[in-house]
Amino acid sequence: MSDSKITVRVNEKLPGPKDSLRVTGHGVVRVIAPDGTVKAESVFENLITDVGDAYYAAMAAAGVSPAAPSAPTLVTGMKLGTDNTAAAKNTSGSALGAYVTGSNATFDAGSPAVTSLGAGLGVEVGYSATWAAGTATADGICEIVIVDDAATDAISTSAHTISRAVFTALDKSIYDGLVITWYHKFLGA
Amino acid sequence: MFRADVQDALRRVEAEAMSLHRGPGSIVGYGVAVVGDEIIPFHNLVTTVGDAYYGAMAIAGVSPATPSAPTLMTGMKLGTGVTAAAKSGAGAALGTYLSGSNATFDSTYPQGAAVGGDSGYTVTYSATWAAGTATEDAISEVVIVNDAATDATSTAANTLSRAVLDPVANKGATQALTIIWNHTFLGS
Repeated sequence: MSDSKITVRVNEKLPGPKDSLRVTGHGVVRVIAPDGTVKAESVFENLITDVGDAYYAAMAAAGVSPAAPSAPTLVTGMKLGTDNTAAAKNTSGSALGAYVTGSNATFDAGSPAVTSLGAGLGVEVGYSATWAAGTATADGICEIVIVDDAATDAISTSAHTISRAVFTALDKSIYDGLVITWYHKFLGA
Repeated sequence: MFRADVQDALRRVEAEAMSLHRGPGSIVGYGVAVVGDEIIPFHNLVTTVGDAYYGAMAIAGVSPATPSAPTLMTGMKLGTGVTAAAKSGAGAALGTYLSGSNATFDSTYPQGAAVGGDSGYTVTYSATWAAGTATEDAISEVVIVNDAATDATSTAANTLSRAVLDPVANKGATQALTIIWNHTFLGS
């Protein structure tokens, strides 16, 4: 192609805001009493970190030929914490601030899963994890992350964290269970 | 790396797209069609099928459910239809297929790159039609599909994303056409 006579033909009628595709995250934390009732509940909105952006983009292109880029290290579960630093795209807000020992949990059986919300309404990817009574016992649980190193009973750095949420603090006694259901919604318009 | 003028055009259309779409957690699609000495910027529409595709790709292989990946995208096709892009229905697929325009992605695509500055991460798709292929005076639509091996129109079920070109691309018999198409992932 010649570089000598380049013309950029500006389209004055480019589509407007309706051609974006939204990815947002939300979820709910439930503390389950020994009798199976919901003892406490907190709804949250999450933040997908810079690492999460890269993760989802890499997943989007993984294996597509001819370049066939590799998938990133896959996420494996969640971890809990007690630090309420606001969630952020990077730096300290993009990872757990204060890890709850023993709270590393892989995703529940059947998770993750994708669900259509209906024609034109997008899809939701659902992750869930469960902490049984006697595990991750702590007062003031207020942060949660999705990570790729859930097998490790230790805090995760930002490099391992695709998403973080801060919510109203909940107490989990030694007798309580805890269930987190977390959705990432993909919607183009 | 693209030519400087193509990079400039991509930056312009990206800036325009981001200014229009920068809201909580968005994936923005935009690109340029380069034919002869012209660069035509465009925005895209991710279809309902595209939503499902990216949702499925996002969790493919993740344990313990380990869902399968969907049928992967393979390339692009061109057309001359002008129906506005839509999530589903007629606007979610090529309107009028341009015979012989089925093209797989270029050899090093798709590829990813950080936008930087907390502005997300971009997946770039690119396809090229050499001189003598897909010759047409009024190329007005392009799609990313999972059946690029087939020299025929694609249904909405096979279409990840569609863009309508305005102005149209005029591809002479001696000209090549390259389409560079970005999907920028920016979560919130």
